[in-house]
Amino acid sequence: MIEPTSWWKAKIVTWVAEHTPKCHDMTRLISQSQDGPLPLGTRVKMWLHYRICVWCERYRDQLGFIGKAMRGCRHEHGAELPDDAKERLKRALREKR
Amino acid sequence: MPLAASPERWVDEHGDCLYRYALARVRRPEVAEDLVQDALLAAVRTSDGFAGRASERTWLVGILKNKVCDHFRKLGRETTFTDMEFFSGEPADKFDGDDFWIHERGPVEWKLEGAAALERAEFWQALNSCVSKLPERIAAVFTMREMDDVPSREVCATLGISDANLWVMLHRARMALRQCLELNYFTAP
Repeated sequence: MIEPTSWWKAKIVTWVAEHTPKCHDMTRLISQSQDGPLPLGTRVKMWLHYRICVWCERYRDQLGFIGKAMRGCRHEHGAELPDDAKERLKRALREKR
Repeated sequence: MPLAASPERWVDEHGDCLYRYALARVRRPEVAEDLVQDALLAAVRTSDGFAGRASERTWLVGILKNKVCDHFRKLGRETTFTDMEFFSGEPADKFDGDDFWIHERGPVEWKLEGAAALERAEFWQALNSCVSKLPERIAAVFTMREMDDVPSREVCATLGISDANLWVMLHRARMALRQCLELNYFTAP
């Protein structure tokens, strides 16, 4: 949790920490939120949690980033079928006919 | 119209493209090659079925897609020891007794942000090698969801797993991958 700088901020941080999912649960919820919308109540709690926890916020951003990267690499760029593999394929196709 | 005058031509014209498609998903060159072969042989058997509705390449990729799916389906039938090991290795040492992050062990800020990393070959290498470290079945689930955006229900049906199981697998895959990338790319010296 962030280090509060005054007593009333400390109170808020404590309250939020007590009323939102623990970080361990947050990691599970963050993963699930990538696969479909979560109930509104859960999303509100998660939003509150991010306000006091930079680690979960990073976790969310980094998982999002990984997802974006995965969608961007649908094709293995630059890889080529080796020549001997091509020969093997052609042979297999000839035999089939 | 005798379209398949020379299926061998497919190897020269579409071979690399098909291979890349398979390799991005299964990551093992020998498996990717086998899948391309299976797809082309299947295409020969059904080439009357290709009525020129789509381009030849799209048609072949479609067949290959099914072969990749079959491959994942086979993986679904095997529960391996590595899976079990992977699940038991939950990194509980990252959280304190109250399940909050232990600050020094929680996610660190990734220096190289977004677009910049995506431009770098080293990043793609790291991502690829990190996904390869996942147990095969878990990598399959993760790839289907994240790369091809296959609906969760379909992933479950393909691998014969329950919803709950799918959530756990994806959660653990993402956690492990994030950790691996952080160590091997974002905070690597």
